[in-house]
Amino acid sequence: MGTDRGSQPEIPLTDGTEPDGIPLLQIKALHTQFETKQGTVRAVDGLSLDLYEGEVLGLVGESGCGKTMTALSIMRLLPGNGQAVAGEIKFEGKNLLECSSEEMKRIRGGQIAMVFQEPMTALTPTMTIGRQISEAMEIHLDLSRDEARERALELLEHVGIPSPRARFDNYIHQFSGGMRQRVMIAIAFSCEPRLLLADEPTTALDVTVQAQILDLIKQLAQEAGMTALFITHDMGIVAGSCDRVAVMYAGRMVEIGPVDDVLLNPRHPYTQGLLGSVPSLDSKPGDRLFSVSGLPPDLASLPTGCKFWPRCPLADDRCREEEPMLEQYGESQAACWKVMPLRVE
Amino acid sequence: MFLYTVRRLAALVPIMVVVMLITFTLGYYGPIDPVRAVLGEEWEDEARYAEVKKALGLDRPFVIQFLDYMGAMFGGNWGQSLSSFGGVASDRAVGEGRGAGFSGTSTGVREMVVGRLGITAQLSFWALVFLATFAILLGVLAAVKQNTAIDYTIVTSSIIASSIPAYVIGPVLLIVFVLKIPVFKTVGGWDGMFSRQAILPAIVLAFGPMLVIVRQTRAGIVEVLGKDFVRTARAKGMPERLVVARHMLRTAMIPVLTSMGLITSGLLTGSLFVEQIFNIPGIGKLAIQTLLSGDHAVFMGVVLFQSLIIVTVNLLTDLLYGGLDPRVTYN
Repeated sequence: MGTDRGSQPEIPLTDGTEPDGIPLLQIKALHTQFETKQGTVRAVDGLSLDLYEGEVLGLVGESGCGKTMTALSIMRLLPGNGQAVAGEIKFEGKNLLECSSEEMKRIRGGQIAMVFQEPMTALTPTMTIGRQISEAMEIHLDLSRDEARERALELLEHVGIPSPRARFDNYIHQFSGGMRQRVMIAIAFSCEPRLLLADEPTTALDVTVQAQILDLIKQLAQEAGMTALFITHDMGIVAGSCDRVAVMYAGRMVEIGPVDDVLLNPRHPYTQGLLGSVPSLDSKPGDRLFSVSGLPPDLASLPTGCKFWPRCPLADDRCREEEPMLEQYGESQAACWKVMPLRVE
Repeated sequence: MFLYTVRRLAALVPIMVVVMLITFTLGYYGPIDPVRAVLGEEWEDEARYAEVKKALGLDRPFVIQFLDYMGAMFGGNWGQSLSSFGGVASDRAVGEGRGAGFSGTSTGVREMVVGRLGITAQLSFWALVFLATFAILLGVLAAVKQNTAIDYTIVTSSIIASSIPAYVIGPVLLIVFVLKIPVFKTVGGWDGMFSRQAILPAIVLAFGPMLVIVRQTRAGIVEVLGKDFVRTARAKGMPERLVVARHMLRTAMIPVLTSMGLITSGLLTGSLFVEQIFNIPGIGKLAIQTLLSGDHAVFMGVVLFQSLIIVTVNLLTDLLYGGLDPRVTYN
């Protein structure tokens, strides 16, 4: 993708279309693999993705499709023996996969921050929340302990923690799930990173809290003019928060485009399946939700051809043998031999 | 936490009463006759025997004697060593302590026990410092370098250090560092905790429990290595050193603290072997001396004090958990 972009007219960011210019983050043919007893697991399999300054890109797909592993590859924090074996991740022109571990430490937290899914386990239980926010600022912003403390107090206030001074020395077990995620967000924004990776930041929260946390992230990112990669499986979040959306399946991208276009005119049958499994206001009582049948493929032994064919209602011989590449359709791109005609509204 | 501490301290009283009852009963029905020990050669003189027995209050019934003893103990009067009576047994007791560098002039049991405990405590302090720094550091290193040559070397050498008994490693160190390479001129006795003489026995003392601390630290760190909060700390760009020190160590130290408590009790009740080998007049050596010489009052004092130490260290350990883990509450 990305080669035919130059001829497009300049479109404002908020339209959600691919803007001109050099992307802040450029992922090229990323392959992230895990060696297991069952063989090589291809968690990310040739993913290419550009993230432009100031945009919010939603990365969606089922559990295990490689969304989180993409983010952890960017951070170079893959668990176990996971490794980005091929490809490039260029951040501000620098290939992160070739950075020294010292350079990575400066980038992590300072340039690229990550908000994790589980606020219950993602914060250290034996350290005050205040210190967990301030310690990174001492490193990245070169603040003294007192200065970092003052800034942490401001941040706590800003993310909506009441009476920050009293809460600074609290531990995480004294906080609710939503409050913990606010702390997590304060940590992520503390060093004014340029890029935010949010890995299902609201999945573990109560529905009522989800919206608040989402609004908070949006508001802070907007204030800071931050670029964000929003990993989620919730199409509602994509519709409400993102400019563009990329759909992942079995470690690769199957569709990408402006949110409005993809949600209204999904080209890939998998995207259609994902959208069909969201209830809408138009559905009548008793209507059955559409769901993608079957299970995601075993990443250690992927099918030939299109990786989605075993679950695809439209698959034919060509789909089983030849893998489709991303092609431009209107404002979006999809990788499918059977691109659906536009849905009639 | 204050109330908790008070309650735990109050529980000390019944525990001490039970310990006293046991030691007193054992002493009362035991094979050593204090009257005979005091009299020495004279014990066959029946009139003299009865006189001394009455003087010592040993002709009264068991219950009265015990209550009297208990009252005196709680009152701070722990009795007198047999050596205060100048008998044979006490001569032997004093003889055992020869060259120990400890002036055994005091014959009050409490003074003797507290004095000896002071020496054992100084020695234990060094052993604990060694364990709390060196052994924990090795454990952390082994965990961070998990399944590498460094890890295997650390674990294997800890196994070796801990599996050689003190009565083997002690003499070996003495031969090497006193006879072969004379790093230390004199052996034995006690010149205070900052004297060179304290080094070898402290190392030997620390060797035994070292394996436990190394392994537990290693296991504790390995367990948190893959935790989400460690990943978060790394995602903040924290240097690995601080990730370990701030985010992993406290959690990993909880099981280590349990062991350190038990080890501290063990060290403070005196190492019979180490104090014997290095001829250090600590509480362990006092226990052996008085046990062999039949200096019953002192031996009971030692046992009582040792139980007091165990219970107190236990309480301290419990209080320290709260310092490590903020989720621990006391009520």
